[in-house]
Amino acid sequence: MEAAQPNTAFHPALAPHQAGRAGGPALLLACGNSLRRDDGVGLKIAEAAEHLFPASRLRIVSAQQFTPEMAAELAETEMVIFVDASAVDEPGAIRVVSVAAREEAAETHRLGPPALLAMAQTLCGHAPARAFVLTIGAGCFGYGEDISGPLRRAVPRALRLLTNLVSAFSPQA
Amino acid sequence: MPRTIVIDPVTRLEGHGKITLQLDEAGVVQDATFHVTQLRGFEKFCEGRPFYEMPNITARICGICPVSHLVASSKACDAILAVKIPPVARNLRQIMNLAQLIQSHALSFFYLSSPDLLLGMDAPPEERSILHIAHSHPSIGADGIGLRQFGQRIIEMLAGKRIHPGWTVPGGVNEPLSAEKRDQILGLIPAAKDAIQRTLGWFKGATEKFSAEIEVFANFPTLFMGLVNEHGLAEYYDGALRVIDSEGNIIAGELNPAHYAEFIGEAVEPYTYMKFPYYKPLGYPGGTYRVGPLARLNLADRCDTPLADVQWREFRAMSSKPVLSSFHYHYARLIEMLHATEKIESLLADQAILDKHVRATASVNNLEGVGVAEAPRGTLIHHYKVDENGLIVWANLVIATGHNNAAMNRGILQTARHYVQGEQIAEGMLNRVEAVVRTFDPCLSCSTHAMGRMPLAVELRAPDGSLVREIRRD
Repeated sequence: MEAAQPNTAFHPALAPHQAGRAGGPALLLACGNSLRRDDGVGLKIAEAAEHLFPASRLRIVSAQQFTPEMAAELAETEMVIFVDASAVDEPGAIRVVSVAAREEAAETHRLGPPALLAMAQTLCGHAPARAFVLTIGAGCFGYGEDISGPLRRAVPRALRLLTNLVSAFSPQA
Repeated sequence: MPRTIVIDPVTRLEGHGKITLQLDEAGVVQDATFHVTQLRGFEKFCEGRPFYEMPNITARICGICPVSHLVASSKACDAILAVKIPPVARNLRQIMNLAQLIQSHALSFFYLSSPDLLLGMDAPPEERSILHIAHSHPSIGADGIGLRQFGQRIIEMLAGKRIHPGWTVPGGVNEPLSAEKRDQILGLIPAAKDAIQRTLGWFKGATEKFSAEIEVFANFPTLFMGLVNEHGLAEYYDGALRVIDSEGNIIAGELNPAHYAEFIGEAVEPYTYMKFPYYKPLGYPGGTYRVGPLARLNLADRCDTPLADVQWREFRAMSSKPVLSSFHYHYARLIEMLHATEKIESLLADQAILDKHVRATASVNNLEGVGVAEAPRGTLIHHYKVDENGLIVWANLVIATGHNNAAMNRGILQTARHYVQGEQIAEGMLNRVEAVVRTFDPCLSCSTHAMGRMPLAVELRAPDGSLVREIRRD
């Protein structure tokens, strides 16, 4: 078995033209299915967030699920905000919690933020110093592209919380 | 006593399928079948849609290779418009197609197959995942996720999003490439080349442990088919279809892909939703052929990018004839990743890649259009018929994975006969039966398309395996 040394020999973020991790933008990683109503609220927040900050302050990645290669994205930043719907909270309830890297049993189709952070540390030698999970309680998961009323009302609050988090983040020069 | 072994689901491949092995009283495998258990129906529910929606609709067939469908579909729409797209649009579509090939091959090699290659076919099943490789072989894991991200990032920079991008449209693409993004992509290339060559290094050293698997993993004569350009080089976007036999003889050198129906037939079997394409002049199943990385490297006269050409020559030196063992799809996949990376670099080096005229516009000028391109898994064909208003009245998709269906089924039988024997069936034996399917890197979600009424056979068998009753609908 290979010695457990993290390898940064190949990392797209460390390409010569990049300014370097220390001065890089915060990262918003949103996941969800835009065709299953409330499940897509994370993607809607990501879409709205594009208008809040320039790309130099906030990099936004949206996908249907969190996948292993996102560990490479995490290694490029000092702050990440994971955004997703929650099936356990009341519709419209917003929760923001800090999250740390943690090895956990995972599947390639169901990687959670702690496991992704752990992968970033193990494979790329770096995980963001600050990591948060922002979830919005969801109740309607039928077919459709619209989100339900409680979530529509919650999105502006979620965006304010997001703005506070990103505004408080000052990349070190 | 006779028995049936079912591997369900087949793991570490895209989509849903199962394998059935029929063993006789002596525990010898008599038959093996690969059942694709998904039905998608895109060819039917697209009827009535405007043709220009087809790229975005058919991209949703798959989350791994949506770009392949975007490209083939857009080309079919180009034919309906009867336009010749601007050269820069052709090159931009090529870049995205090649980036897709890189990320898809990275997924197949590192995420799906490297656990077997690094840990062995008999490793505990719970260890056979990229997540475990991230711990046991972190530098290889880092290269794997890095290369997948490399391909996805190029797609994202070109098209705005990495999965189901909407940038490729009938007539071209909908936005030119900026100098800033071009430079960002170029900046990623050296590290990507290094990672691929590192991978080739350890892989070539690892294959000596798999000499037995190489011998029986779908290792038999078939035809090979794929696109080549006018110089006989592997072509991923345009070109003509070439068919060679297992001796390396070109039996069809310049087939027009738009006329595929003249030389590609599609058989159906009652036990699977995936069709069985075959080369018509030789009938079914004699006209079985393989497509994809192994075929493309067998078909090409040489490789026109320098680093990949060195690797390609070494690959072809394994045999004076076409390389037949499907185990070597893994090897071919790595060489293609290197070639694609070099090709992207050369396309971006041309200043014309920044041209602003990226789309030709027209209305419906043909009531029928065929678009063909090489997807990561092989030749992909989209064929549409429209009415005067441009609404789809008929669609046929011949999917890359489908071309390999007959060879996959034969390969499963060959592998199972070698490894699955006797009363005690070890898990590693069954993993090898799955692993031969993985060499083809099938995309089963893409591949299940059926026309008209599905054939169906229901068999009632006694405990001893004998047939009691059969009901068929052909």
